[in-house]
Amino acid sequence: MQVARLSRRCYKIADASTINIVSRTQSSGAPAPKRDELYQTAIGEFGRALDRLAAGYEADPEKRLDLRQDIHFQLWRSFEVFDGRCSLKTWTFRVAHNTAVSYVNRERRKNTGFVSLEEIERTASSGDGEPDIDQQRALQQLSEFIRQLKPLDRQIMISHLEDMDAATIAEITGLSPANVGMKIHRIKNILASRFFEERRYV
Amino acid sequence: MSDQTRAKDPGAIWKNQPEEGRAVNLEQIVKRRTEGFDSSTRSEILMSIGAALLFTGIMAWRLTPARDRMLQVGFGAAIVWAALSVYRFRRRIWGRAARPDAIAATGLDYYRKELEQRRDHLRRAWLWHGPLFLACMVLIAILTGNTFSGYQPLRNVLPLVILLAAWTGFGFWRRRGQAKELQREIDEM
Repeated sequence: MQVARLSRRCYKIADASTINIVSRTQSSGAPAPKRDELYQTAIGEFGRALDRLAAGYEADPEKRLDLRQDIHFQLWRSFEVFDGRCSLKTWTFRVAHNTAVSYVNRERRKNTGFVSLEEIERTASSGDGEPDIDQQRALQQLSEFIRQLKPLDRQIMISHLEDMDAATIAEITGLSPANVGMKIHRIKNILASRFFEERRYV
Repeated sequence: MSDQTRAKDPGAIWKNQPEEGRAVNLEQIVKRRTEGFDSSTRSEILMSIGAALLFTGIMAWRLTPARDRMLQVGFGAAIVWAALSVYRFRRRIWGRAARPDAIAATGLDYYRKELEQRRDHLRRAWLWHGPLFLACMVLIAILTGNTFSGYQPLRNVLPLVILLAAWTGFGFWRRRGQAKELQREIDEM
């Protein structure tokens, strides 16, 4: 994993409790407890979101378990070099997305080609996205839609669905906040046309 | 936002997806990766030594009429080397009881130890790749000699020899890269 890449473009530093873990273990010279403690904290806070993130990258439950395990392992490894200059959330999601993107690239041969948000936006009004009130089917439809996207667009989409703001998504992806804002605008349009059509159907 | 509207809100749909049935356990992941290293090491040793013995056996059978002294000594050395490799790596090949200090170690310490062992194993690839490499060298030497005495044209087997040499070279190069990657992981730990 490119740790140096992870350290770039962090505007929000870690919160006080995270800094406390880092500084306490740095002064005691005990790397393993720091890593374990940070890992436990991250999983406690973002464990469910990481599971959802994995679902955005892999549909098959068995393979998804492998991906989740890989994400957890890489996250645990990465905390060895975590220094608090990024927020725990940014760091966690960067590692998770990077691991998932590597996974997708490995699996790419088996997948059909990915599409960008721009391409989907152009075809969004074709009428194939009839809203479905059944939650499970809607989730399936949403997940399938996410898994079609190119990795970077997928990161933005998943982060947006997790209610992250443009600045946080920009930190995770490395794009400029303005660029992320534009992408989010596209995402909202696409989601509205596919999943949010009460005006027509309610 | 009404309930019906919320039901169609993608963010709500996304976040309300059912929980994963199986939880992720870091200790289990580490254990699985450790077992993966063990099984890779075992299969590498067995494949390499097996290939060397098969190669030596076939060549000795095919070239026996020549009764070449170099062939007998060379292939004999390859078989002895293979046998010594099997003896040296016997614990790896047939599984082993955990070392006393490893039993008490945490899964993560045990993993680090496995990484180090795997790295050392890859760095010493010449030990377990050696018999096959030696067999190839002997074959090349004999065929080259025979070619000049008019016994058998070298060009008939040259593609096989080149393929084996390239495969061996690629194997050494790949293992060196893997060892470097493991060293990086150990350094990070």
